[in-house]
Amino acid sequence: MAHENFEGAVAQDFGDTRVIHLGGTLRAKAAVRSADAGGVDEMSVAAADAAMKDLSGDFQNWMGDEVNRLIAAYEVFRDSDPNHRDVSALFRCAHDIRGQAAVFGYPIASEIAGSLSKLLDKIEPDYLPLQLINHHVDAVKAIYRNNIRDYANPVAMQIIHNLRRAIDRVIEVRQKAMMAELKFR
Amino acid sequence: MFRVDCSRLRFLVVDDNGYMRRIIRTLLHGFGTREVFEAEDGAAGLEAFATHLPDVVITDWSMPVFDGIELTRMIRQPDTSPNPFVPIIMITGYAERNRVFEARDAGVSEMLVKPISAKGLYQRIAKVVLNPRPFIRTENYFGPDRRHLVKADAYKSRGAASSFLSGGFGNA
Repeated sequence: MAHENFEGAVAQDFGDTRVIHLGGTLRAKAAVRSADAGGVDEMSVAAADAAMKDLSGDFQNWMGDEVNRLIAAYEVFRDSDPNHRDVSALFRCAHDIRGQAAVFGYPIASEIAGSLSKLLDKIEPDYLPLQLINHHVDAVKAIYRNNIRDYANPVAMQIIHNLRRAIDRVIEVRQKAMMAELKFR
Repeated sequence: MFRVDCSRLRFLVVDDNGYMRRIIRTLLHGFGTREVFEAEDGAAGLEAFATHLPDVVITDWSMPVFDGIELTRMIRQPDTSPNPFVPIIMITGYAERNRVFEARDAGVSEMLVKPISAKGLYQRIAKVVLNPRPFIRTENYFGPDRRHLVKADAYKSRGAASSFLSGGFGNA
């Protein structure tokens, strides 16, 4: 076992299970005493937050780039041969917006992209409803272009609700169909 | 109490999205880190890992061709990896239980669900540096103990040592 002595690690064997206690090298390298309760270095966190604030002037443009990437991926998906559609690029765009839009200041767009990711993840490409995908892409586009950034907008909230309900229905129908296919076999 | 002096640590950030890499790098520099290396997919990340020997790896899950799970599995190869014990923090949009278990079983040390925040990232770094979990090696697994809250006494009996392999998992 080549690495059990790595960085001062100590191994204990329990039958076919080996427990390796690490040597604490990283702790020795980077741990310093602090008065901060809970071990959170408030100064470091505040400095990082300030650095993010400096960066945030770019976020609107970055969000625009991500939305354009989503639109382009959707158009490629829509225009490809229905029997050979590859969902991966579209999924990655939706997934990226899901993860990043809230940091960029567009939490509602993040939620809509999250719904789209769920749809693309749960339903096989052949059964994906193009119109529902289109509604999601249009909604993300509209949220960005109208600069809707908070949950106080009732239209945006209604859109989120309707899209979620539509997706849940599509997934439910598909799951029932799959169960029926299994029973038929 | 202890805190982490990030200026003493070297990080590798692996993410296919350039904006996300920029955000993570900005946060790390804000923590005081000087050495941040970047890679835009798992394959480039593995190469950068071998070249730069980072103290902490931060990776995205979803990447084309070679994703964060595959990268983690490659790094956790005990007989071939340059440092199979390196802490791996996975930043992901996936919060579902089955995804958390999949990451855990690949050998991920900590997960951070997007949207990312300075405090959330700092807490994960502090956890892997200040309180690293022991590693477990069995025929089918090499990685951090998959139970998060294990007292040292739990390792004294074989029964306890083997029981966590059947699925106990504290707080993901």
